Amino acid sequence: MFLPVVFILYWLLQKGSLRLQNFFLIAASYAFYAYWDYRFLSLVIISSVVCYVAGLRIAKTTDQSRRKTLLIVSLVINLGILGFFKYYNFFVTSFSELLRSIGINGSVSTLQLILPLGISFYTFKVITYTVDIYRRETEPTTDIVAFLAFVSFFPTMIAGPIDRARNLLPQFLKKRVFSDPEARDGLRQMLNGFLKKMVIADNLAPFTDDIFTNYAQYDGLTLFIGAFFFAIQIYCDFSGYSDIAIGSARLLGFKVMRNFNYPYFSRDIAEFWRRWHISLSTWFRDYLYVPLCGKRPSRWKKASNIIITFAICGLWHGANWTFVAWGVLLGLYFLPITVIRTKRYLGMAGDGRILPSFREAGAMLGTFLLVLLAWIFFKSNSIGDAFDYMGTMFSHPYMHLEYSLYLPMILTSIVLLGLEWIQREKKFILQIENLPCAVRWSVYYASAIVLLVFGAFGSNEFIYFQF
Amino acid sequence: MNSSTSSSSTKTALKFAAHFALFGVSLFVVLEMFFRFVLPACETPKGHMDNEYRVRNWDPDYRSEGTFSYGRYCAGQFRWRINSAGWNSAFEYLPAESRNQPLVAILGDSYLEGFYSDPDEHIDAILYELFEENVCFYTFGMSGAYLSQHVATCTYINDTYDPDIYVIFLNAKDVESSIQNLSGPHRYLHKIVKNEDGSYSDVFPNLQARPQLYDFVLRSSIIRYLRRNAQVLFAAGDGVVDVNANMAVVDANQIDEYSDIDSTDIETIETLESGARYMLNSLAGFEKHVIFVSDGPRNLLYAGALNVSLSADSRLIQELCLEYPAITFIDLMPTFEENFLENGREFNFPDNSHWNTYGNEVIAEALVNVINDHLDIDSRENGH
Repeated sequence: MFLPVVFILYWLLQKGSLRLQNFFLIAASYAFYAYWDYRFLSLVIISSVVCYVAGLRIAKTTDQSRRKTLLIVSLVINLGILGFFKYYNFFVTSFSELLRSIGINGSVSTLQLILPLGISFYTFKVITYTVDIYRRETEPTTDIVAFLAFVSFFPTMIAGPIDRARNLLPQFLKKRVFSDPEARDGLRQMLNGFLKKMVIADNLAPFTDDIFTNYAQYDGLTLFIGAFFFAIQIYCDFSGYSDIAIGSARLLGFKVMRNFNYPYFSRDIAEFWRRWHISLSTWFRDYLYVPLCGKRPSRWKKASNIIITFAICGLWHGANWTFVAWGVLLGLYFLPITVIRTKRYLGMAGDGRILPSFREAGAMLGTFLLVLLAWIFFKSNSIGDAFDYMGTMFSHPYMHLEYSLYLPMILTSIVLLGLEWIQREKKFILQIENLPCAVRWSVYYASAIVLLVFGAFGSNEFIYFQF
Repeated sequence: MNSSTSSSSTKTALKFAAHFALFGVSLFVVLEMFFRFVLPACETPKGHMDNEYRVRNWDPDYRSEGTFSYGRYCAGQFRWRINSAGWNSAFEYLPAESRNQPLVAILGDSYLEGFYSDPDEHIDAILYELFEENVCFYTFGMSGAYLSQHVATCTYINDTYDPDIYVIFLNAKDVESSIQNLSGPHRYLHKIVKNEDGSYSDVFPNLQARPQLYDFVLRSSIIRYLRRNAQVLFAAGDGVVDVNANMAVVDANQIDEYSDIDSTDIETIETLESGARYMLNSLAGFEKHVIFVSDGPRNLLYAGALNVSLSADSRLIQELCLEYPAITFIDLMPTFEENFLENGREFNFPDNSHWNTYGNEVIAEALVNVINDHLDIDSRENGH
């Protein structure tokens, strides 16, 4: 009920001032956040105010060292909050284990910390604002209401996309215009997201949880199915959320950046990273990798920076070495592309054809399998578990187990990938505005039935909420 | 942006919202049809509470026939028929003076309520055939019912139908559930409560009428589907009669129910024993033969476990029955075990512990001899 009420009130306020409409968005967004977790709303406000003030000060100052100091202060406060809540216990226990491994025993105390919802996302979002001002790529705003609305914008606040301030903030500074076709497409995108999340991701979750928890009892084929299921689950879970977020933003007249572009049709890892969690991968490229490299870096500097960037990207996902291993592995996949400078794939595979060429299909399959192996680290509880999982996968390939219970979800996953292939030139599967009205409505009705009958209702949160 | 553009945006947005609402209405109609005719959502009769005995059955005037289904995909679909007495059965129940055949009254919980098989495949119908239509079998199943409720139901049955034998199906925690001190009051089931002097009293259900809006809302097949089949919509609140609260629950914890009451202290054991004795005394007071039938953890049997013991609660009743000559105790597990080892067929649905038709047949056949032993059909036919 939240979105329909916000939608109607929001557009009714269109007749009033822009400030009032933005103020309403802040109220709605804070209420939305408070519904999930009211305790950390103050952190959102602190983060927003710090960046707002820092942005104004950086823009006003011409002294480069003072500008830099202001930027660093802003980054330290924001990353400090993120680091404290998300990584304090991780680093304390890791440091303690390191000391113990060299024979120094000392007692360390961890804190009972709860990870504030969406902190990784809104922190990265506000950082783009101060950094872009520092780089003179964007102007600061003096409208604090618009800025607070931008940071707390409820569709993207909790799990992205991590839109750049220079793209999203200007949209809060002028009155939005309601576009009927945009809103219709936004609804279709939301439906697309709900189908991916509730029908596919949430129905795969029990299988992946079981297989990854009890991997020692299964054979290689089952473990491969488990890894395949997790690859599909995390894609549908997160891209489903992104679809819902982008779709609901479109209903309110905002254009949020695209977050997924059919990543499993990538022909190499570089292309995969241009299609997977685009808002994060480009964030790391623009705000970490490029600054680290500086001007004209050597190949080896590039290579080491890639590993560093991917490792930090992995750590961003969670305070566990498994995520770091996942990131480093993807970085290692990436290295040959950087060092050898292979062909850069720009368009979509199978461009202008119904099916991909054999070469493309092979490249897509190879890339998918590499990503699949990396997901094992992402899903496992420890790096040891991940290696054991892979070891069992290859040492006991087939044990005549009961595989038929996986068949429905295997078929569902194949149908999903098939539909995505057919619609790969569109932004999402249900972007069907050109089809006849009767067909479109039939698709909507069928989608609603599929949601109700096959959708998993319950308390399955989005995986990326925990990041 | 000027004010006319803003006004135009508001108008277009509201028009869009109106169009979407219209689409919502059409979607509602399509889904209603779908969950009525393609994947029929679970229909249940309306609960009815007898004013005199405070026994809950079904209102035959509200709706007497329908289709019960369970699960997201409505894999199991069964007809139900509410007779004029308010029970789900293929038979009309006749009072003693209108009957010329002996009567066996069968009591139990949702397993006997009969929503998981068609009326002609209920245990009563199968037994009626096995006894070549010489004996009447009336079932009085009530979702979630336990021993204290069965005793109360027997009072109603005794006064209304005067049966010759009572067959009472037990679940794993019949005694424990019956005592209010241990498990709290119930909305529509009778309980007993232990008084300070150690004696027991009957506790009538604290019934509150279900709001009419509730019945109205449940006319929607979408709502029924989400509530009964998918089990994702508004659980019934306390004090509101929800006659199906326990009916469609998949018994995933069945094995736990049959575990021993290891941690129970001596005082609790004594309470259970005295409570069970109080209820058995009440049953003995009807001066009819009573046959207790105990089900068991069939899932363990399918998993390969043999000689599974009764639950602690059922063992207690079994031991006390030795003190009552007119009460017989039957453990169904040996029958299930023997049959399963011979045929390999399961007695319940794959995703639901309620008996399937085969289970009903096996149980009915297991009861034939013991009922025969206590039912003097020949003497009755000779005019006694």
